[in-house]
Amino acid sequence: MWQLIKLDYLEHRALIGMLLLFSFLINILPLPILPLSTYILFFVMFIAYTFYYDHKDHVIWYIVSLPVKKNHIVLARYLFILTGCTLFIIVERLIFRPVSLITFLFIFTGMCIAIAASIPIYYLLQSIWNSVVAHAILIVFGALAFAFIFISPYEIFDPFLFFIFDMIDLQPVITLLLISASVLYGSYLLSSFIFLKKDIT
Amino acid sequence: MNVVEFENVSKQRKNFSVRQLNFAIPKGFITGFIGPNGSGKTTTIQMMIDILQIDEGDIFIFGSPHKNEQSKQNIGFVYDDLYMYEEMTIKKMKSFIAPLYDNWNEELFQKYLDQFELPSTKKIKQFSKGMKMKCSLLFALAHEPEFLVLDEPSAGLDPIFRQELLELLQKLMVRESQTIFLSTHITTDLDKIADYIVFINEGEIVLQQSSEAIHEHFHIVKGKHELLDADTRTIFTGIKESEIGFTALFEGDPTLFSDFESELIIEKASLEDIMYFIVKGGK
Repeated sequence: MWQLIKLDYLEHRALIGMLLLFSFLINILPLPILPLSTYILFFVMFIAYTFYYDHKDHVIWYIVSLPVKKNHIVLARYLFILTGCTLFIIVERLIFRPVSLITFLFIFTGMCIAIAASIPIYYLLQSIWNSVVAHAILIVFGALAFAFIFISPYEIFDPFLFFIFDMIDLQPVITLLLISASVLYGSYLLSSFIFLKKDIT
Repeated sequence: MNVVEFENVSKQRKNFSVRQLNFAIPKGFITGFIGPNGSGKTTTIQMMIDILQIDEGDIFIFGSPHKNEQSKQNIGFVYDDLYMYEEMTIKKMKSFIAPLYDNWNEELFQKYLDQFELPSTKKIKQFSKGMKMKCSLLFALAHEPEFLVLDEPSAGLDPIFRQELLELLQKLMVRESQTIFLSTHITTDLDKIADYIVFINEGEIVLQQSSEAIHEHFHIVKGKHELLDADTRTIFTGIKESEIGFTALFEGDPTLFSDFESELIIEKASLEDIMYFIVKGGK
């Protein structure tokens, strides 16, 4: 499986470089603070680009013919995207604009939830362009749903939210890491299931 | 012993299906997989590799279910194109692929790299069609697979490299356990090297025999129209008629025509003839 992560890094190193360059530029140059939507756009582009070349060059056809487990192909992709995004937020939020560890972990958990929600779309839909559109729609609706849960006049979500916040108060590091790991694992299982059951086109 | 066994394998695709595939690829021989374009050859190979999911049936490779990735340690796949990131070079590909194989042979890799005259640091997107095919072959051969699967390897290649490829495949067969499954619609390639033939048409296996048996049983019969009537037409697999007479494919013992020796020309059918008449039938 490490070979598969290596392949992703070999192929997409320019993308990682661009992400880091982006982080470098927005922090070094005297630019106004970028809105969250810019980061979200870069996030969507990063994931879409990673899958785009798989589709364009039918690389998965070749990889499947090699002695590797199909679920390792999926796992390697998760680890590549996770490490790529983590590297970005480390540079962005720990080096250039330092934040507390808890704030960093909140950002990390949010990123993990976004990754977990995004990747299965690219395994589910055959067309890369349909995937990108679906991904963008998911991000918009995800943001709306998130806002609705937090500012909802109804109290249906309150017990769940209070439980989570109590847990974070009690054990912030463990709780946030647990949430991150759980959503990523669930998402990985879903993506693996789709990848194992569907034709690769 | 068989390297691969297809048992009642079916697959429905958009506007196309393969139905009840039953065939085996015997160990130690070259099996040619023929059929016209769109007949299901690539679909069959993609099911074998586990790119496409089968709806029904079973595929066994080296006696294990085809989804077992360990069996791929002993298989080399060569597609009709090189499906790799175009920005990659052979050097980078090797750094990714070689560690995946238990029996990667670096010496052999270097030998083929020299023999195929491939540049190891040039990007794949700058490769010609022939270079891509050689590159695909290079990686398929470097781990000394017992079973080599080639899907339309010679399509779009110049005749010189096609000839070299066939010679290379014949050289590989020196190894006793070597098995090759060669899918192509260029049947002349198989006339030269195949031991067995599996013929697929419209998603169904219509013929599977040894090349020897095929050459023994299939004949092309040529004669004048007058010799054709309702009864004689039924003995032929396919008939092509022109102004000067008819040409037909006959399966069976040609001594049946011994009484008409002076009026008929009987010759052994090539795979191309067989494919043509089976596909076209009496049309």
